[in-house]
This record gives sequence, structure tokens and C-alpha cells, in this order.
Amino acid sequence: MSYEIRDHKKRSASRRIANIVVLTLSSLALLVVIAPSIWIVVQILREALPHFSFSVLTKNGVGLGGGLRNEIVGTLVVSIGVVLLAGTIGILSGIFLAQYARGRLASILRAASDILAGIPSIVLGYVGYSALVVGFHWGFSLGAGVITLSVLVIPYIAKTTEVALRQVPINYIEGAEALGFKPTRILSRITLKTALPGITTGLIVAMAISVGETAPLLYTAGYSQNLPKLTLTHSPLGYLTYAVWTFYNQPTKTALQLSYDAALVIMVLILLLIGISRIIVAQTQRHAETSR
Amino acid sequence: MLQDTPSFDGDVKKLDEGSITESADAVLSVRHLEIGFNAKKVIRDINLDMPRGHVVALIGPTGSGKTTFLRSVNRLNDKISGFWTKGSISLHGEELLSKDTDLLELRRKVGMLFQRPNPFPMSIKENVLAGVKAHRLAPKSQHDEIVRENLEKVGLWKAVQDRLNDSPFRLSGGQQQLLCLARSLAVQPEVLLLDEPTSALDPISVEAVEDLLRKLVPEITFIVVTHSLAQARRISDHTMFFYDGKLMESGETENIFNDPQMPETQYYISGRMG
Repeated sequence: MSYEIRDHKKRSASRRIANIVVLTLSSLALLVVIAPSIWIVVQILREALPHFSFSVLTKNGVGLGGGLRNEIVGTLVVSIGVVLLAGTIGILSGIFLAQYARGRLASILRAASDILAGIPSIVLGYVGYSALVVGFHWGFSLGAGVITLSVLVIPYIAKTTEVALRQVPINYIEGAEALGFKPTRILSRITLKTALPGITTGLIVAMAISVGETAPLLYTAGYSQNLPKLTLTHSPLGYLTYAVWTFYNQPTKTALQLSYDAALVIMVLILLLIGISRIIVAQTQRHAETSR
Repeated sequence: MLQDTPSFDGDVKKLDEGSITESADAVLSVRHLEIGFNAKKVIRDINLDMPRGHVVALIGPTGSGKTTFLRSVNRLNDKISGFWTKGSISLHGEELLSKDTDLLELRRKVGMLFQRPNPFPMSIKENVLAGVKAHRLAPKSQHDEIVRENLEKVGLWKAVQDRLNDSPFRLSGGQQQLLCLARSLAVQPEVLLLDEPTSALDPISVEAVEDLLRKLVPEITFIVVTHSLAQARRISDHTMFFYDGKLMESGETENIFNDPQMPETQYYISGRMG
């Protein structure tokens, strides 16, 4: 069967137009993604840098002035707590979901995890408040804050862990089985190692969420201008997002400046986290099949 | 297409219980083996003896059950849902299909090489040592020696001695497969199962792997699933022809290819089927 093919010039013109349209649209989309990030960074730097002094990092807050040391330490303590608690539970849940959960049990667990992930953080904050702060009489405290934030990020960590584990090539696993590796050894030497970039990324994002999250902590951690006490109950503590939110609305200039300083510190912390995760990934993937 | 499958006769029969004395030198003995997935039977009543220290080729059309059989010898199918076995496979008289079989030790004794090279995501050196470490076969002081010895055995040492700590994925496909072979050899297996070990390799690597197998017998018994009749002819001492889940014919490779008894075998090796 034969038919008359269309003119070559016409066809290549329409292809060229399609190319240009797609290229333009995707460039625009990219701009929409990048522009706000750059704008935020520039804005914070412009507002914070001119008056920035390193004493902000070393002095505690006093009233509406002073420094941010108590908030910085508070945020770090809470984040480390979240990584330890949510990291442990989240990664173990992810391993369970990827390797052991079968059939109905698996779908129930996944649904529960998805629902938990969909609950707004302020609702979780309220639940944390009524259950831990009031219910258990813990008061505003490090323990209540860490647990509430952990509940927020556990589904996320579990999901990223599960996905990362599922992407480990079956070739590796069968190879290790055929060589007589114990299941636990396959998990530790092959599966977890291969999945580590995904798991680390999940952990880092979880940590970034807990550095940047406000609502759950307002309800559970309270606020303090002293350095955090390392006890789990009755230990209200400061954190950076509180400073951003509260000081921004105060009438004094020093308070406004502190608010921008806090935003700057949060930004630097998050960039550091991203940098650290990149280094970890690069270090562990030296022998990976796809070099990154 | 074949109309009906003839019943067992000829070569297979002599392997039945009556004549086990004949198979005293068998490394693997299979008796009345049936394998299936749920209601589907993949292997039907197979009886065979794998002679020790030889290369045995398993040939047969796709879906004839040879790979399923191969993967059952080291129990790699266990985790597949619906998988079941009946009958017996024994290694030197020791039952492999029992619940009490020590799977880890079985897999040390019966290694496997896959169709696609699958080095682990660790350095070349660590790849060779992977099984040695998993089974704690040797003290650390001997590790360097083990790495060298096994890489030399497969002919890779010269190519990789300066980059033992590099990623294995920078090696060519053929070199990766040789590395996997070195990894399997390092745990000193008695039997190596090879599932189309050269089908993903270039001709020069195929030759390297084939030469190696010839060199490594009789220390190790190789059971090779292959779709290449030419390869089966080149490398194997014995050939077993699988058809529709049954062992149709088995014997010395030369006899199978020059004087096949069963019509299916004749069809298959003449290239009219499969």
C-alpha cells in the first residue's frame, strides 16, 4: 500500500514549532520554581545581613532583643530528637513495609500511614497538646515537642525508606542469596546500603521539616528564653520559627531584625542539611552501579 | 509441533532406583522430582544423576523447566509464592529439599552464576570477599591472598590488580561476569549452577568463560542451562534434554548430539524446534 507523504518542509516546520512551544513552557515552569526560592534567599540576606552580628548566635534572647542562642540550640535539640525517634521508627516501619508486610496487613498499614501523613500539622499540634501537655501533665516540654513532630514526619520517613528499599535491584538480592548470605546480612550489606541515598534524603527532609515547622511546637514546646533543659517533661524551650513568627509582629526594630536573623539561621541550617546529605550520598555510592 | 509426548524409556530408565549403584559417583541425585507453582506443574517426575567433576549442559526449549529445576537445586525459588516441590534432590546423599536443610551452607556448596552479571555495589576486592566474609571462611590475614588467588583463577588479576578498590561497574560486562565467577569460586563450592551465563556477553568474553569452565573441572561440577546448542556441544561432557517439564533424554554430549534417541531430541537439536 502506498500513499503520498506530506511535504518534508511542512513536517519539519511543525516539528520545530512543537519543539519551541515545549521548550518555552518548560523553561517558564522552571522559572516559576526557581524564582521564589531565589527571591526568598535574596530578601532574607538583604534584610538580615546589614545589621547581622555574630553576637546573635551567642547570646540568649532578652525580652524583644538579645540574641537567638536559646532558639538555635532549641531547634537543634528538637531536630536531633526527631531524627533519633522518628528516624528509628520510620526506617524500621519502612523496612517492615518493604520486606515483611504482605496482603491485607500491608494495605492497612500503608493506608494508616498515608492518612497520618495527610493530617495538617496544626491538628497534630492540638492532639499533642491535649494528649501530652495536658493529658499526661507533661506541660510544655521537649518531650511533647519531639514526639508531636516525630508523628508528623514518621510517615514521610517510612515512605521514602520503603520506596528506596523496593528500588534495590533483585539481581543484587538474588546474588547475595545464592552466595549464602543470611537475610539480615542481605539487608545490612546489600539492601540498606543500596537504598541509603533514598533513606538519607528522607531523613534530611524530615529534619528540614522539623527545623521549619511551627504549629506543632507552638502547642507542645511552649517558649523559653533560656537554653533548653535536657529533660523531657516540664521543659518549655525556644526554637527559631517562634522567633521568626513572634518577633516579626512586634513594634520594635530590634525585634524585626531578630526575626530576619532567625530566618537567616533557619535557611543556613537547611542548606547545611542538604550539603551534608549530598556528602553522605556521594560517600556511600562510590561503588554504585549508576554513578551520581 | 509434537502430537503427544512419549513415555519415559531409554536412557532415563536406568537411573531409577534399581541401579543406584551405577551412580555412586554422582554429586547430585534427583528422584521423582516434581516442581510447581500453585496448580501448575513445571517439572514432572524427573530422575537423574549429575556425574561429579563434569560440565553438564541442560538444554531444551523455553518453558521446558530447566531454569526452574536449576534454581531449585540451591532453593532460590523458595520465596516465590505458590512454589512447591515433591520428591528428592540430594547432594552426596544429603537431602536438599528438606525443611531442615541448612540453606546458607547449601548455597555455599552449590553456587550460582546468573544470566546478567550482578556484582554487588562494593569494591572489586569486597566483591570477591563477599561470600568469604558472609561465611567467615578465613581470617582477615588471608583475605588479600584469597582475592588474588581467585582473580587469577578467572584471569582477571592482571586487569584489575591496580584498582581492587574501584567500583566493579567500570569493568566490561564480560569482566563483571568473571568477577562474579571469582566471587562464587572464593567460597569453594562443589557445584556451580550457571543460568545462561554467557547470553549477555560478547563473543570474546563467552570464550573466556567457556575456557574457564573447562579449566575448573573436575574440581567443580558445573550445571549449565544454555540456549546455545553449539555452546552445549563445546563445553559439556553430558547433556540433558528437557522438554515440557520432563527429562526426555540424557547422556554423553557426543551421543546426544550424534545419535539422539527420542524424536523430540532429534527435532530440537536439528533446529526444527525451540
